Amino acid sequence: MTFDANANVGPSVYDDFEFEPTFDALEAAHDEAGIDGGVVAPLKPPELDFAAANERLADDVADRPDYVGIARVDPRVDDAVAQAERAIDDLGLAGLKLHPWEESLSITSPMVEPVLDIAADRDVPVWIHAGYPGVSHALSVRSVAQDYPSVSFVLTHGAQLDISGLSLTDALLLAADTENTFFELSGVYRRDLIEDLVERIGADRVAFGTNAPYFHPVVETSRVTTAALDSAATSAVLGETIQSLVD
Amino acid sequence: MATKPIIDAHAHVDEVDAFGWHDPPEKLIGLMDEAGIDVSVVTTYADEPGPEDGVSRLLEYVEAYPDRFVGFPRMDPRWGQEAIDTFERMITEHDMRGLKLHPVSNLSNPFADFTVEMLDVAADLDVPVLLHSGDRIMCLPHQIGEAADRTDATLIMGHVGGFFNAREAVDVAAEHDNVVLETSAFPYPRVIQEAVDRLGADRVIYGSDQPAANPQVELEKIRVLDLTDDQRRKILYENAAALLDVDVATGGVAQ
Repeated sequence: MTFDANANVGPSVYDDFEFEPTFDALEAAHDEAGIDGGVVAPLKPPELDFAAANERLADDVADRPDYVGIARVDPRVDDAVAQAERAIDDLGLAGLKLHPWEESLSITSPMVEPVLDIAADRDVPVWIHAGYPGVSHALSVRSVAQDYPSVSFVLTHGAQLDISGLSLTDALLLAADTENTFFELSGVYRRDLIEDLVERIGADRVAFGTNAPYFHPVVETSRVTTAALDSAATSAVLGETIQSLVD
Repeated sequence: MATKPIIDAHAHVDEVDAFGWHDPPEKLIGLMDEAGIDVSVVTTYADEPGPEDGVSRLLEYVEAYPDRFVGFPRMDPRWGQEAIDTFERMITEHDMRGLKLHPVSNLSNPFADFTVEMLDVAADLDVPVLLHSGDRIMCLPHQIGEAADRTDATLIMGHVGGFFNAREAVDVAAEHDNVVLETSAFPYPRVIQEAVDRLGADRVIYGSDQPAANPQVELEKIRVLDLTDDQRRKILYENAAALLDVDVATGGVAQ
């Protein structure tokens, strides 16, 4: 079973490609790529209201058993904690997602801590859009992961988003120094990073994802299926890793 | 994807302790064979001049696989005439076919006078220049556009502007006829489609950035596009063959 660890649905304030990222469009793209389901978060909506976006998402996943919803939270807003609590306690969403790049704050900002306290208290995983310059570099994420050892963190893009390949060492250091981190692979053009992560920390901490709607699900799937991994590792990365985290 | 032959316009071969990157030619040949790639443009990780002496290794690699590798010496333009002399010698005496510049590794602005001087030498020698692009100061698309304004050299913008500047790269190419987009590593097939639709398939070439990147994944980025067979042939082979003066049908690198 192929399960997307990083899918997103709109509406989106960043829809400059005009791809209209609806849930139906996500399902169609997944079907075409042979992806069976996934973890879905809201994109940043044009009205910048994550509370409403989380409610829409909860409605969307309610009748889609192959999909698991997670809540998007902006730690800068006054009621960030209340939004996180409501998303988990009332809406039944399975985790939280932080996007330091789009929210323009460092993952090490003190404003993030009350939201992570909720995740720790409710025992739900946290997705971090990781590896973005200045706001979620791998070693910044490491300090957060070490401060919250009971929280599982899913780090997008292999915790490095660097077309020069100069953040690989840092991402591998983060992987080695923590046990509560999971590395999602969307956009990871580095074949060697995918194979090194599986070899060093195990396939049960590495997860396929598409970053839908931005990246192409067929291309993203091929990152795993053409990597030099044995069949057990491929199966874990394609779905088992992330499914066991959200079960 | 039935299209053959295939030229990969962006690959690396080098063994450098300082970087911890050991990618001997055999590794690259294995990946090329798996992906069905006939010829690759190869360059080192090390700049020349520099402590790692990149050009002498590149010569060894290219001479070991003359029908599979086309060498682009990777130069540090801050060295002025010394760098230009070495670059010229590689083209005129050792049959290399282009220049590689990586502004992040040598912190050289692509439109600095000393860089443009080297770009002009490439233009005089009638060989293209592969420029790393994207995401960082010194290699942003508009900085490469400034360089394109100041030289007649053909500038191949590697990675189409990277993760953060891809659509800007297409804009810059639209404004500069001497800029060609090379598709490796960046994650947006839809931007490749946009580039083909706006600029024409003549201005887009396939590259993989192997062996760090997976050439099969990079080929998937082309396969999923809505292209005619003619457009696909141009992107995967004909455009690069023309830039490099390569003819796979006659046995690889033409003389």
